[in-house]
Amino acid sequence: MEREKNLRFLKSLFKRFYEQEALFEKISAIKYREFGFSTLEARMMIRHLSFENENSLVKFLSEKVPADCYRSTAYYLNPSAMNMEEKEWLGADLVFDIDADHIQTSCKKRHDRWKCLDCGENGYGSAPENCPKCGSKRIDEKAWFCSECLEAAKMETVKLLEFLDSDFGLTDQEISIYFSGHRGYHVHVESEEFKVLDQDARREIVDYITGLGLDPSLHGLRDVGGEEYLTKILKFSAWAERLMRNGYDIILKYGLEDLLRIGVKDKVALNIIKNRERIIDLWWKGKFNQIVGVDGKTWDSIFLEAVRKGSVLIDTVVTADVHRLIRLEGTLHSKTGFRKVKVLKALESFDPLKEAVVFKKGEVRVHVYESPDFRVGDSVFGPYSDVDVELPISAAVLLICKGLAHII
Amino acid sequence: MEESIETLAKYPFIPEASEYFKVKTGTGDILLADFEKTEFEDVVIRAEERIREALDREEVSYKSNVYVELLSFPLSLAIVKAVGDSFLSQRYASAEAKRLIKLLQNEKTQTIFLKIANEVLMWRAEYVWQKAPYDYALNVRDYLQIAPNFRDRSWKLINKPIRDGYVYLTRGEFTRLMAEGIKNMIEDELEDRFDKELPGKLGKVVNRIRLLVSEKRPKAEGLEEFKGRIVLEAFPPCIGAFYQALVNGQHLPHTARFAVTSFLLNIGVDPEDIVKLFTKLPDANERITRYQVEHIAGLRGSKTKYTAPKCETLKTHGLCVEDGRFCGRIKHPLSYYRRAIRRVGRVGEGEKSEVSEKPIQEVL
Repeated sequence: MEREKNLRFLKSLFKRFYEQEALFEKISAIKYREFGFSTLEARMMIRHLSFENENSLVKFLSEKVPADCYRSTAYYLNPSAMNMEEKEWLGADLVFDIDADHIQTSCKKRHDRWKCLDCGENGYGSAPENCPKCGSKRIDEKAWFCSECLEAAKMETVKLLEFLDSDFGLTDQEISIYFSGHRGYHVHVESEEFKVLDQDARREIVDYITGLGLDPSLHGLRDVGGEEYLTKILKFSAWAERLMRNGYDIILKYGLEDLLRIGVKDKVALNIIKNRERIIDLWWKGKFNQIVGVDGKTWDSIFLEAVRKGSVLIDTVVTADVHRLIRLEGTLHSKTGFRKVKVLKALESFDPLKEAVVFKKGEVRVHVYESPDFRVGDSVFGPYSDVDVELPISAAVLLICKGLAHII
Repeated sequence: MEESIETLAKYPFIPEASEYFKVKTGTGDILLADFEKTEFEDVVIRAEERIREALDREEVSYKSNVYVELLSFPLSLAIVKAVGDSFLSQRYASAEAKRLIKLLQNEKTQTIFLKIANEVLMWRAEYVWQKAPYDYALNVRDYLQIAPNFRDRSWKLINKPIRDGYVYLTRGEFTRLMAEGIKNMIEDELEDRFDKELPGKLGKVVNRIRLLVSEKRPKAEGLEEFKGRIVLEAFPPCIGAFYQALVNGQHLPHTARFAVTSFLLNIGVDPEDIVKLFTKLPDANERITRYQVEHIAGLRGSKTKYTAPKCETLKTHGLCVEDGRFCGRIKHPLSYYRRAIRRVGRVGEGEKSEVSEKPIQEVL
């Protein structure tokens, strides 16, 4: 009954949104894209659809009112064909997905919950591998997202953009940044250069950005080349520069605890802390082997940490997949009621909890089962536990979409 | 720029070479029937020799009779196409690539390098004079279309110096990439097979090559012999871990599910048994699982039967166990299994019962 009411409420809001908002920026080569939709009622996925133009797409959306809308990153000769062979793949945009879910933030301890499906034991934070009480591995996780999570995802996106610019030489015109409408960002690259790349090539790009398989000695960073040699290397290798910069930070700023955490032996760590200035001096001269008391194993640990700091936590599957469906820009996310929205200004000053909000007028009464505190627009709400409250529609929709409240 | 006939003989795939064929015969393209004439006898001999060299030594030589050297290249291609054997096609393409490497090693200037890279392979490459230790800059897109074929980790994109969309390379590395590019180009060309037999003399050459190919072809080793049984002890660590997780009803990411499903299907496990395995998972939905398993098995949708992902793919998705340190130089979970199963099989006759050769239902 409550479910029915929620559904009717969401459906009427979503329908009005798709009817009234001419929401679409131009989707490039729209008739070569495959579209897919999930329905509000059955959470079923309908795919292999195609549209001649934006008008027919908007008409479809306002008639069918999907829960979530997707489109292919790929271009197909026959996008509505049922299988890949007949679709005839022509190329695909390069896309990146950065999701706060993949980033370990301290706020998770506050707002994420888990529950053991066998014994009912529960707690806060990311779900443990085994239930601490009964040892079961069947654990249900309820993850929330907050400004801090979104900020962490934004910082990763900033790092990614630096890669696309300084390493891959892409221009601003080729890159579009979107807030996904939920926990993260999508970066779409529409460039002739990258369109034709196959899965293996895209995996190489993924490994490059996630820092997988990096060997500092292959970047000349373990050689005894001296200052001039190092300068040359840094000029041509963006990763070498990243490693040197991050290594510098590690040597200069890491305390004993941090150094031990990254695997440096305590004696060596103390030596590093004592001689920071001198080590840094030799560091920028490329004389790694002349630093007394810092052995090869320690350099390995420091470089490994420098790789971790320099790399970006992208979803590896999304970028490597050349047949991926990705959320359609401008449309609503059924887990939040926010929309996937393009970041038009500087990413640093972009506020997703403001820009992605759609339902700005009116209030509605809901019963909230349980919710942490959260912000929508400029207002902060909650925490709530088993109460009836009147909320602005956007906040109420968020809780309903998250399954934490129902319409009264 | 006008190229000398010597340059064309060395690098017969550069565009001017085909112009040369037309001028020489005066009638446009040379017809296959022309090779019956005695004036082309040397060319036919050299064309057959090129292919024999590829089969015998895996490398085509360079001979200084430039006219014969030049014309024998397209004729060799025609003969290989007529043989229509993919082992020969690959062997020939790679032997021509080795010829190219040798010839480029003796070049004094960058001109021919840039010509082949930018006008034959259609890359965007530049000579970076005085930017030692590098000699050439290659657009990252072009690099990515070629280098992922190379296994050594020094070729991984992440281990290359990159700035502003260009990969910096030494002359040796650039040569190796160009050879790979030409090899791919020749292979693509050879895909376009002849369905008719060649006439006269050339037909005889084709028959001789066919005979030689059958002698040289490596013996194939399939997984067929293991079909229908699984040997758990021979699973690679990654697949073993996913399999164990499934048996215990633990959550598995999609990529791991795909890997273990395609692996099991590849070693001949029945799709129905795999569905049973998956229905132990907390989020199990038998209908969806069956659809997905059958899809991977090629019974539905695109009808493509998927091969299990290779080690590199598993690494990218963070599924490789301890960076493959248990696996030696293995590149694919299926080759691990193939080797391990041979090793397990090698134990003395009496000990063979240790291997679980039961069908999967009983193992579960």
